[in-house]
Amino acid sequence: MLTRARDDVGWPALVLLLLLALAPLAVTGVSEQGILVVAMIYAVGAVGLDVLTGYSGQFSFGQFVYFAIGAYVMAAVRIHAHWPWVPAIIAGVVAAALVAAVIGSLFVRLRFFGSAVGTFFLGAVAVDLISGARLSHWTGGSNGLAVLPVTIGANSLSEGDWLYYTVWIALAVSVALCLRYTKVRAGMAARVVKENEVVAAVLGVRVFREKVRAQALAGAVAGLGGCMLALDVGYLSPDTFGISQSIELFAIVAVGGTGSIVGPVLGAVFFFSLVNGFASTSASASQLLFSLVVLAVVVLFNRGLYDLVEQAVRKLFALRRAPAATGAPEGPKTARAGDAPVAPDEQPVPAATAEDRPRQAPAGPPLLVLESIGVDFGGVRALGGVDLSVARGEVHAVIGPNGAGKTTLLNCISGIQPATGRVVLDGDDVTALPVSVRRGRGISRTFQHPSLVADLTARQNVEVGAYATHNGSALLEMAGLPGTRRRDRVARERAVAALELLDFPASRWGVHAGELTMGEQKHIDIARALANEPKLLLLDEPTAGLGEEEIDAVAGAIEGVRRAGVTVVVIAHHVGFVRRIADRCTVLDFGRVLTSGTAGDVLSDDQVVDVFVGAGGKS
Amino acid sequence: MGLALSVIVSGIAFGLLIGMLAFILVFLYKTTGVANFAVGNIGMFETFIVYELWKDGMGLWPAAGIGLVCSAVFGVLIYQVVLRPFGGSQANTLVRTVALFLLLAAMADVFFGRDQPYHFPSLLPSGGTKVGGVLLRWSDLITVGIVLVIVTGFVAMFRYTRTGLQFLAVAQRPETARLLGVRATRLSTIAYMLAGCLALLIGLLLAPKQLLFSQMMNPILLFAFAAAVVGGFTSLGGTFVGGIIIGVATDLVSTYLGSDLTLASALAIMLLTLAVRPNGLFGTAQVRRL
Repeated sequence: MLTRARDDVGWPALVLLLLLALAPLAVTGVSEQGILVVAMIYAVGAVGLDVLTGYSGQFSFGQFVYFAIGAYVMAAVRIHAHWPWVPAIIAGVVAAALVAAVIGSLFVRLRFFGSAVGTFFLGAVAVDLISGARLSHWTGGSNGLAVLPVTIGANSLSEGDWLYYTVWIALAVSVALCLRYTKVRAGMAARVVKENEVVAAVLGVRVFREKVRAQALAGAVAGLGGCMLALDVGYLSPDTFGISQSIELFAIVAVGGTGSIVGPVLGAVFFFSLVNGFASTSASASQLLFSLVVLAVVVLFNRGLYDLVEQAVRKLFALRRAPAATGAPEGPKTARAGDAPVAPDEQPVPAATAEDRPRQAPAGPPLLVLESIGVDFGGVRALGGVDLSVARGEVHAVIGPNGAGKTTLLNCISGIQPATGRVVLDGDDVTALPVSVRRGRGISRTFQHPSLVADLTARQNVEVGAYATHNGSALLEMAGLPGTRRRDRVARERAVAALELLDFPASRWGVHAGELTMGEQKHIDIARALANEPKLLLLDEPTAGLGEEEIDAVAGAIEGVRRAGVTVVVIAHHVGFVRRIADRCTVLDFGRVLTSGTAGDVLSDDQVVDVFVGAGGKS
Repeated sequence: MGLALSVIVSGIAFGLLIGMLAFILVFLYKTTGVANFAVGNIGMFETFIVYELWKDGMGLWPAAGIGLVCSAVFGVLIYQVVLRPFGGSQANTLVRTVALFLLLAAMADVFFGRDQPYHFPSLLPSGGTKVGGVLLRWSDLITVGIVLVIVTGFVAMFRYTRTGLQFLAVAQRPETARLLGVRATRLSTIAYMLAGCLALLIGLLLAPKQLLFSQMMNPILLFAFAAAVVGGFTSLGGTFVGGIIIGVATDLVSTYLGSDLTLASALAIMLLTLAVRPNGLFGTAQVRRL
């Protein structure tokens, strides 16, 4: 259902819009053109719903609320305030966007499930309110509201070619806005949010705000669709904006294919051709057919129409170009998590250990100080008063058996996990700061399971992490002003620098993250954390699940990071790896610091060996 | 005051129906991991089947009995034919239930709906009794009784049967339960079978009060969602408490403020609950590992 989101649909969108622009030449019947008009009106809103669902991972089963707001506001300000129609449409769109932002910010907290139910609910409530007596001065209640005619010169925009092309322009505007959104920082950030909200927050993305932005954009274009609907029908009644329309709109997006912008337009044309093809028999029969088609698509072919068309076109081109295929990406690298030989813990110390390296004496005050950090998970003491001090420029390993609280400790430092005690970074108490702000102060981290956005390329994934801040107006971003472009360029340069620092092969930069090997994903995760030029890099098991060669590569990367002057706290199980990279080492056991010191001393400590080997060998 | 009390009493009876639908929602959510938008319409469609049987001259009780058997089969079919094949993500399943919601409404319109809405005969006696000036309808009292019996049945099943224990295990820790050999598909099939029967029961109790038509379940489905959220979406027992809260509150609102605010008040209660207690009254926070 939530298929791959695309940002390469510019050409298909253009082709489809041109086809729709030319359609009146081929489709001359008045009623057939009328069908296309309605399809395009739905498509105006469907494209926005796709932004919401396909790109930011949210749901809405109540999108017609915003159609209603657009339509009613436009009609009402013309009747009551005598506004000309252009400002009235703008008012409708802005009102829909504002309401969407407000309601969105309520529903955003409800997560995937709650927002689906909440929006569905809202759709029903809106119909009640529109038809009820309370707002009837503005909405006409259940009697409805006549839309004043809209004209340019002597031509009415409510009929014929004028209507068709007015609606077409609205669709073009909606598609252009939404396409633009998918390409700017806000759109990329939304896709990280869709993938994993916690990861997004750690990258400095303001999760809440990005979700609300997507809501507002979807609401705005739905409002525009509502204005067009008002032009088309000429008379607003509550039944036009019911839950079933909202659900149909969602079904249109699902059938067309989420995450493709173009798909929903296809879906809308398909839906209305189908429904009206059978309208002569009976309205409910065509509904039956449509719901059967939706179900069939969702069950059997859940990627939707767009994917189908795209694959067909690909095959066509592939046949043309046949043998001279461009350098296909070489198959995945051989080393896989499972089949790599597991390194014995007491393996011989590699030649270049941390001991041999020239070591600057920890200069000045420590970069990170933790004071009696404590975390309880409902009666289970995960961390019981951990004190830790990490010197500037060192690589500090945290080791310990499973369940010792290592990841929880990193979560406390990065702010994901509320804890008692104090976290002091560079002399500043950051304990009270939220996750995304800590990122801005210079704390970056990676995860045990690198949650990359599968449908962004390796390089784009790093770019999302490379923004110094995710503040700023999405509207300005979409306008592409010089300031924004400069900001994007800086992010790109930082991303490239991070990738180069890690020696990530440039031939793989353009590969979608979903197609990278585990080892490569771990590298990209580190690069993404590094791209923001942090003071402190937290690595959560960068070697877990990797083969010997890949572990070597990660160790090399960490050494590169260290040379670049970044302080590193790394969780690891692999003793050889720890010996190679760590300056100092802290052992956690049952949420307490067992011992702390130079890596060599700690690893030969009897107590530590006991915890590791005595507790059942490799943990 | 007498009016208010009567409203409250009928609100409680209606609230228990809401709670029962919410119970099905949560029960399915806990066993199959998805909120099923189609539950209401499943009940509506099954009620139509009973209505058709009755209209063709069958007695109401035999028709209801046959309807119950059909509902069990229907529930199994829905799971096996619509929801299980090529089982996808949570989002995919959610959309499947929405498509099913549309499909069942369209099917009811096409097959049965020519002259809807219909009057549906009541299985329960009419009339009532007055206790201290408060009108108690027999149908309300019997509804309360039926819900109590069903709840007791479920509690007994969860506590004393192997299958019931497996339901609890799946609800608590789906992955672990599966690893321990719980056959999830079988459980889900049973869950949908039970859900189908309960949905019919709700339809039979509800249809005489309002009317029988293809959209009849939409409001109560919304109330049930609100009740489930208020009760905490992970708590089976909480759904009935949530249902009663929603039932009484919406009854009071529609009596004293006007029916156009009924749904809005349920939505408001739901949002308020989420703002104050994000996991509902009885829900527990779900901890996620990174």
